[in-house]
Amino acid sequence: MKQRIVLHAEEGKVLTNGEIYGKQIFLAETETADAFYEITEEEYNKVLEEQESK
Amino acid sequence: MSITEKLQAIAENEQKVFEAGKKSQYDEFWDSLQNYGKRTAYPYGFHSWDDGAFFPKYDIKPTGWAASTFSETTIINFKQRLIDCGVTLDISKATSIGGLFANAKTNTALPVINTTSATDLSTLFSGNNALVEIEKLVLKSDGSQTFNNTFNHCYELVYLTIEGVIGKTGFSLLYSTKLSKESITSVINALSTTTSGLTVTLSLTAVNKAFETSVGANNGSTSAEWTNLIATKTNWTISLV
Repeated sequence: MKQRIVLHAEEGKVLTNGEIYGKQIFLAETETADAFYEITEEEYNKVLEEQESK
Repeated sequence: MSITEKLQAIAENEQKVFEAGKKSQYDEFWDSLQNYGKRTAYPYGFHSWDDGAFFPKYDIKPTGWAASTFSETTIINFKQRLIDCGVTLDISKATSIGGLFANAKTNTALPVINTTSATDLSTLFSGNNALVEIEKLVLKSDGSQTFNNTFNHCYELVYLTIEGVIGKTGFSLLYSTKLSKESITSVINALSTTTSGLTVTLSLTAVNKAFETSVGANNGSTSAEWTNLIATKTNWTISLV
């Protein structure tokens, strides 16, 4: 079985690839870590607000 | 009987007469509202109802459109209220249940919620800030339902049992920081084994607490128990926030 890649965000940050958001992300076996980058928690909260207003 | 004796009898029966009057009013109101138990259309039926008003006489069995039936109610314990009234809620035939309990901010418990006739469970429990327990959420077995903001702001949710399959869209309980180990396990077990490209989002706080290796360790996300659990669903991305 392919090992899961686990991503960890730095303190105060959230990882994202534009669709998935998390502080710890256990990637599905078909996903790669290439597209992930960090945003601040404040930026993440804004994303949540936008998503919930839809 | 003398007048005095009659007046005494009236006084003694006053409370019984009062209660009989109240019961008559209750029956008249609920017989009309629920059409003697035959009503099946309840869209916005109890929207914004107060806890002091919700005492249904008959089972509530909506079919078809049941959107927002209990939205913005201020009922304290919906599950117990149904038990106390001797009635049940059965939404298994309801096809549209969006926002069914949306913003029912004071409610702490729900009974079995059978969604197997509905395809879209968006905002079903959104805004249920005080909700602690959902006895069971029954989903379709084919994993074809959609979840969008279904559990938004369910901050107090601890007990959630899922029956059925999650397989068409992502699933998020990111606000539920108190979710129990059994509840988290139920969610993971419900994830489809055949889908791909989907994400389940959980609270990091909840997972760290629920699966901690010793009391106070808060290390659940690195525990063997957690790792073994999610190893059963490597087709899913699991995000902890």
